[in-house]
Amino acid sequence: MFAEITDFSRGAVLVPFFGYLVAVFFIAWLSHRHLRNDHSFEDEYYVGSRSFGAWVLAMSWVATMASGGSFLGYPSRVFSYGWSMALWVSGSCVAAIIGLGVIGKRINRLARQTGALTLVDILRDRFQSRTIGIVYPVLIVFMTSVYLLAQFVAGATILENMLGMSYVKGLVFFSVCVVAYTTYGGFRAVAWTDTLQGIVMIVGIVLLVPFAISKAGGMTQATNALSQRIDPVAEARHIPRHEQPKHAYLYGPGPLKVPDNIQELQHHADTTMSISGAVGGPAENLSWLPWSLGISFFMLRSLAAMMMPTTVPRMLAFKDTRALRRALYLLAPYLFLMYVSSLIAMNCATRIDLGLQPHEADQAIPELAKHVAPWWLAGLIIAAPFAAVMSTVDSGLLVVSASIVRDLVQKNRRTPLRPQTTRRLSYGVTAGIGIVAFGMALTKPPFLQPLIIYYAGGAAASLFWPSIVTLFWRRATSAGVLAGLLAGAGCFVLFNEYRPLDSILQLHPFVYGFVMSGVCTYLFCILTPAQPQSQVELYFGRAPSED
Amino acid sequence: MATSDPRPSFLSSQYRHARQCIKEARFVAAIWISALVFCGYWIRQFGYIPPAERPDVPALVLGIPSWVVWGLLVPWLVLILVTWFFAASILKDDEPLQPMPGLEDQLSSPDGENGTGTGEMGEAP
Repeated sequence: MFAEITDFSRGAVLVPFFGYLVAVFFIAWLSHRHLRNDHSFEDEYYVGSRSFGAWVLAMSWVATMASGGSFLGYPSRVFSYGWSMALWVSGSCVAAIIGLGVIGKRINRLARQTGALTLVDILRDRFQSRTIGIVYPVLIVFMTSVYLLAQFVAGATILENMLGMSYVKGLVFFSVCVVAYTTYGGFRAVAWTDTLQGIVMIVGIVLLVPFAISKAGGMTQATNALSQRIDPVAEARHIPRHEQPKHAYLYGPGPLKVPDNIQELQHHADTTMSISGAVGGPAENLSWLPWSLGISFFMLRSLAAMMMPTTVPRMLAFKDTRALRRALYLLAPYLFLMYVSSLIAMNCATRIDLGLQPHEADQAIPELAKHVAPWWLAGLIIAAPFAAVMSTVDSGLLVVSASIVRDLVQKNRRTPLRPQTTRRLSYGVTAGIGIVAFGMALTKPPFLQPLIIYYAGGAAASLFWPSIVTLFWRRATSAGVLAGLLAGAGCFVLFNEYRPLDSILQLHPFVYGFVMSGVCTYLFCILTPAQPQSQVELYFGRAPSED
Repeated sequence: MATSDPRPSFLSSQYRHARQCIKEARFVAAIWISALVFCGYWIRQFGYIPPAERPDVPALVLGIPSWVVWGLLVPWLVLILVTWFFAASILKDDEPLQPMPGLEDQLSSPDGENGTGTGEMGEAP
């Protein structure tokens, strides 16, 4: 019944996968026809003429938010750290209501009223500040580039595993596919393909669960196997078995953190008596997820869902509040099914024995699919993370393109670009960013999830407070917004690099950046002159009694 | 962009919209804090047991550690209901769009006279 990894099943797995790819390109072709219509090119290319319905909004938002991180990085961490990942992922339980419920309606209305195509347009217009119009998109371009790098690596890794091709060939194949349909079809193609990808993702990951549980002999058997699992990092560090924590994979803070140089560590462990401390600090301080760090991830995963540069454009593109409401109905259970399915399926992996080494954890989902699912289903399951990666990359490419073309070039020229030039520039920049990301991905970083967390953390730390006060606070000023942007980004980068307080309290660097950004935003807002009342009223109106 | 005499109907509509959005944001903030406090507390209390105090046979519910069930899965299901309640009862339909004074030609609505929207993306093909 279950697929054996034979040449036949390996080939058969490709049938549903390539069927999915054909559907993606067909949708891109349909979308491109809209670009030739008489709509404004930019309005169509960057926000799909603002006409998302509930399904497109929900699937597009979740397919963009859930990236290679959700379908490769996160399952790989569950594979590596077991049930201790529960706290890590817990922030996703409020991601839907946070992500759409707070800013969606507000941004959408202001964007329609002002003709804004990006959130930066709204900030720049409210404060009439060219500086904000430069700093904000520069931060977006920097952070999203890191994100794109991780996604390109994820796409190539899936193809490497599935097709047995080299990493570089997989990278070329993936890059050509995703850059081509994104450049060709623009935002509408991205939104429609995201909808398809969102459906593929949830079907694939949910169907994996019963097969994984069945192969493991039941959930209880799977968890019992996990409770007996030996921590490979502790072994490599020569920590005696009786000193290793009991049931490390069943409780927080989990087993020891797998370092980037795990292969080197294991190699040395075979040849030396002890290298305890070789990866920095005593072993007891290297547990995977101290509680305080877990709380940081709750904050990060929920708050980043609101301000990710790749998901915010969806807020400008839905057609009315009814679409937003229905999208919330869909998204809340969707996120539960997606993350909990991964959590359950990957915790069956120990019992199933995928034969993966710690440094190969990113291949856990494709390997699990090949081990437990019938061939016809394995193709769909493997297409799920591929769809997640593609849907994130296409959005990332458009975000960077919009930031460069719209926010940095067009808005800083004295004379507007000719429509034909805008069109060519948009196509060229979208394709160019894809090529740059491809070049960066050739270096293949060892693990994906740190890059993805870097992006999400950086975005939430620097963009959250400046965006929130712009949308909701009358007293906000351009100085406060700029201070929040720079303080959040600077603090996040510094703490990420040096981690000066880790010996006292282990928090993710995002928390420091987030707090610093909030404090600076507030202080600079109240210490600098308020905006003219007439300008504030355009965004917040006037109480009837004041008329 | 600023104008000295924006239309009163625009200002009052914008005021009601902003006030409603802030009310909705406050509700979500309260939910976020509640979820953070509950999940953080429960998982700390029952999921972060010191190794020496851990039972030989961990408590499981349907094969899943009980602290995961009560600290994550059940609250998550409750939050799905809360999100539905928010969407159904707290999130109000927005008022008809009015163009921002000085930017009348920018109003973009699927049904608006000046909009560029087509209303054709409601469902994927």
